[in-house]
Amino acid sequence: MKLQRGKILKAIIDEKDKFAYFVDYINEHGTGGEILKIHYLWFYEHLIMRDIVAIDKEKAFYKYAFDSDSMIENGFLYNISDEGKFAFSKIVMDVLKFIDTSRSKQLFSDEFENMRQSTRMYRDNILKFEIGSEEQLEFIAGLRNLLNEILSKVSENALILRIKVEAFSKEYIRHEENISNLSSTDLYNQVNDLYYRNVKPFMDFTTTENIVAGGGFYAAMQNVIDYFDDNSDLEKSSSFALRRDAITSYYKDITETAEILQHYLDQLGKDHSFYLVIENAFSELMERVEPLRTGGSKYILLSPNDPFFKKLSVFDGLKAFHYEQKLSLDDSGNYDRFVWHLERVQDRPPQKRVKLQAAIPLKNQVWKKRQKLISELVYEINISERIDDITLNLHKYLNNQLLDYTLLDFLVGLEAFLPRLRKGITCTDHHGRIEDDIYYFEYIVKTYEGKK
Amino acid sequence: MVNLDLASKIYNQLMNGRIINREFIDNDNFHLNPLFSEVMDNLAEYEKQYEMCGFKMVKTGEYIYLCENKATEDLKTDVGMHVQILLLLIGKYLNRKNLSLSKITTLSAGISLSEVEEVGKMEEAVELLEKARMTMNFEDAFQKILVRRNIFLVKTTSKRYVLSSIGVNFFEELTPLYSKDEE
Repeated sequence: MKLQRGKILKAIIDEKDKFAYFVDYINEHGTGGEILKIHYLWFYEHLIMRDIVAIDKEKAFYKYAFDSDSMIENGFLYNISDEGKFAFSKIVMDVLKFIDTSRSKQLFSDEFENMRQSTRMYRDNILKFEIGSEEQLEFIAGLRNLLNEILSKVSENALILRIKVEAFSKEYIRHEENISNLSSTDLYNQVNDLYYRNVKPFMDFTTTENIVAGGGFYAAMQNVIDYFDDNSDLEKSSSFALRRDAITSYYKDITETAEILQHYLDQLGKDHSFYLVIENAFSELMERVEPLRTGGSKYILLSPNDPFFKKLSVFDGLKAFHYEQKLSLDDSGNYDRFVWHLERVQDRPPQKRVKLQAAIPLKNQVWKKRQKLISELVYEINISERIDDITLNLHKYLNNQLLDYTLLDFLVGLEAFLPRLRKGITCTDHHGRIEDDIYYFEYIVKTYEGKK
Repeated sequence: MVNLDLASKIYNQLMNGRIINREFIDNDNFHLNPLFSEVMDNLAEYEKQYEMCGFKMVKTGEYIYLCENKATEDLKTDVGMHVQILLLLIGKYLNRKNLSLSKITTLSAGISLSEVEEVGKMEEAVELLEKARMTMNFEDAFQKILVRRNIFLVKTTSKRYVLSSIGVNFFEELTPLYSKDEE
């Protein structure tokens, strides 16, 4: 089916990711645009019909556009029936290679050097042969062709680099948002590679400054232009000057691209450097922790005076200063200093100890007087040589002597009486019992036998 | 002339071991910190005031904090060590997650609380907190040591935390010490 070529071409561009499958195959096998028929049929059935046409109604025309017969009829595919192969037309290959920037090969340093050498070769020959001679005219024509080729390559290269930088910018943003699969090191290597292999040689090639050994492109062209100027052939000199300027004008474009790349390179370089620094510092810190785990050190905890922290000065002296002064007191402080310290810690004045000067309560005085009276009575007892029951004896005595006698009086009396007997007290097997109106007291009978 | 109202706020910040940054974050934007400007405008007076109390002002064009007026080797503190460990743990987390340090140094980004929680789950975090006698979990340490001292500044609307200048200085100080093994 004959279709509008522009529409098919646009469809190819829209589906370039799918067609990239063939570009990879061609590049890998070096087939120069040839592919196996079965590959194309699989591509048509699966990637076009199943994945696109069946889903997206707006792309239903792909069914006819990418059909192999239709592609052949419209001049996008050639049928090599003997070998079971198709070949893409040149226009399809050019479009795919140009648009698919991730696969397209931008110019490297060597290619620029080749273009520089060719320019110098043409210059030397043009200057060598007599003006207007047949040989010279051939070299002039050759130089013109070369300049056309260079211009085409340079413009394409500038565009590809710009697209690559834009793609890289998007990747960098994805990286910042933590949704990229690439590490900062990968990104750094990518940009570094792009800058030094592609952008820098491009700048060196298009620059008007003569920074290349053996003379650069600009200088070689200037020689040719000067030569025709000197020989009053203004048509040729201005023609070459225009072509040269068309090429070197890309210097401005590539400088802008280079500035963007340089910015990313600086930022990524910094990130890359911080990455290594953190890895190294953290690893050393963990090495310091290692002996604290296994008892290989006399300490088990990290100290601010550890060699790791001693190397660092940011945050030195950082702390809160509550009650700081108390810690700064001299070791040989006196009591007053201690009081001041305590006052600061407790946040209130020290409590003075007050001497007790008030009178003893009345109740205590009465009891003291009775205790004194009992003691005096006990000391008045004439101790006989033998007392059969010390407890009963004392009980009867105090009961006779005191009004309102209770067993409490007896206990006070016993405390005073026993020291008077000292040695000579013997415990017996007998038990006794005394009582007052409220309490009773059971005891083991003790006898006394004084010295004769 | 010294503003007495600001002076007492400055005293409160400095004596509590906090850092006065040149800028603070409000409504997710940097603003000039009036406390920092006050100190810088009356630097001689403030330096004298704290010098008389035995302190020294550590000041750069970006931040101020207070330390004792002692020799450098006597200025190693537990707090300083804790801050350094916590920052290194966050740096290590970023490395593991393939993130650049600019995530915590640029205002538009910042670290979220859920990420802080993830830092605390790292095996090394638990051990380092224990070995440095930080008797709390990482989230609490982050808040009490880094945020309260203004080492991390909070973006209130997005609840993300951005490293202040002193934190950036810390990583920059590490650079000449630990970038030798670059391959």
